[in-house]
Amino acid sequence: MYYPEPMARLIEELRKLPGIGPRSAQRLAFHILDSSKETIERLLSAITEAREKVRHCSICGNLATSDPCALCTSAGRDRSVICVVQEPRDVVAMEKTHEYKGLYHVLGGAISPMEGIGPEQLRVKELVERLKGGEVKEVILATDLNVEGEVTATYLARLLKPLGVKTTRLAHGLPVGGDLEYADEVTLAKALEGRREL
Amino acid sequence: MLLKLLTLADFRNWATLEWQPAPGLNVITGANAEGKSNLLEAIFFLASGKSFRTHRDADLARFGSSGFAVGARIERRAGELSLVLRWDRARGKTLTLDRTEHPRLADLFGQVTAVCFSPEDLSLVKGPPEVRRHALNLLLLQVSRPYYYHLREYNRVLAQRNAYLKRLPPTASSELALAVWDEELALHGAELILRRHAALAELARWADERHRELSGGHELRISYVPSVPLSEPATLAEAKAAFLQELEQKRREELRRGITLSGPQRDEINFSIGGRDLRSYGSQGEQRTAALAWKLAELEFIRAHTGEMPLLLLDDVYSELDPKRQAYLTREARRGSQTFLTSAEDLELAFPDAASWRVAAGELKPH
Repeated sequence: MYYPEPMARLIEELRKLPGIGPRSAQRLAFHILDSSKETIERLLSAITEAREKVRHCSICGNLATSDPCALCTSAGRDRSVICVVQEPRDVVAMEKTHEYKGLYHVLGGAISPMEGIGPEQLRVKELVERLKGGEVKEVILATDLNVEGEVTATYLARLLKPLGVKTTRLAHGLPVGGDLEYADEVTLAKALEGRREL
Repeated sequence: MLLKLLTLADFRNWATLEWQPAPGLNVITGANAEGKSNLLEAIFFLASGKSFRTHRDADLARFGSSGFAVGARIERRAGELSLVLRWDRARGKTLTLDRTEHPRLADLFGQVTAVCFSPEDLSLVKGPPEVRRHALNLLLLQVSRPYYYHLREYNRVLAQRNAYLKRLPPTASSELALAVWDEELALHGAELILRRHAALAELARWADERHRELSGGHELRISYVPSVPLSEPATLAEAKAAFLQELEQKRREELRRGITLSGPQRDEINFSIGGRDLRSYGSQGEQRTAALAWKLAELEFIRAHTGEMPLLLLDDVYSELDPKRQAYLTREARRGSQTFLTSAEDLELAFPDAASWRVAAGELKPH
């Protein structure tokens, strides 16, 4: 079955988006055609505005509408702690806790030679630069708990050691409210490894 | 452990199947290429998440279909459980336990345990080392979640480290990033080495026992030859230190060749009788008997570690054995809680009291 040319083009463009296969692209295209003109205009302006106004903060690398971003310039943040994360969405996750009051540093990924990503492709130099002022006392390494995240954390810990900054790693362990008997052995072993004194 | 119901959808030649096997011994006969082995392959797939005949899941889908499903109801001491393992091209494998979808495939392991003996297992002794490592992995991941975890992580680190080595110039020296990959490799590698060491010590003892009974008293030695030399008994810290030292020693060659040269991916498992290496100098009969002894040791191993007898799958091997080994295997098959045996020949005379099934024209029927 062949679609009219503009429809085929729309499907083709949608397919280029991550996670969108041919079927999803068709469904989205039909949805767009069925939508009101106002809905489409709102979508278009949202895309254009986001693309124009959102940029990376030159200090922390997070997404923001101003440079430096609101988090980096906020007077209410503790400037002696930096939490290092892989992606902007990790900042959102940390912020949702309302527990963390320090600053952030977004690396833009994790070390992964298979994808050609080394420390040079990440915002590592910028992190080292930020620590030179002496104001920062602790760096919390909050990269992912997979192989690439662990290696990135270990790499940073070793790199930062000579600078005399304390580096810490987020604890791995049991989910809150989880019963011990349902935890699998791997999680339990990790939790045991990271136990603390009471 | 009992398999009470097996359901297949688009698995190999089976469009659909609902089968309630009997407890004890099930003998499945039928002409070649009717799908007998596919039944055993499906059961083993539930135990290990893998086929014993192919590495590619796509091969398991019926010709022309884009996915397949294997389901089962099993009875264990802990109670009944229903599980479904599906595969399709878009999502890969998905696991459902008691009607709840489980995001992690790791939750599959340990639910169904099985030992499979098929004609391919002859290469267990005479084949290349990866055949033996693979057999050991498939056994250990059924009984140990941490083993599966460390194996998966190790393989990922290994792939990343190899990619990194390929990019480094051969003249590179003390690279911080390489040291970090070493650390991660040694961490998971040491876990694997110690776990393989302990498992093989147990397996070797049982295999020797079985082998003596099968061969009229000949001692079978199965020994672990880890690629990282280890003075036993080692702690985790010692194994890790030995691994790091080994990496240090091979550093220059690794940089030159751009590949990791030591670690569990290069482990070997040796089979020998009276100091004679069976891989190079064993007769086909000796190799077959040693492989059979190993498989029977797997049964004991799983029982010792889970407290339950695993399912025993004997794919087309019965008629290849001599009468003495047939008799031995028959005894073992009856000892288990449930055994599945396929054969192209009619075996009613050999197993008059077994539940007998016949596969023909895409159907499985009581015989």
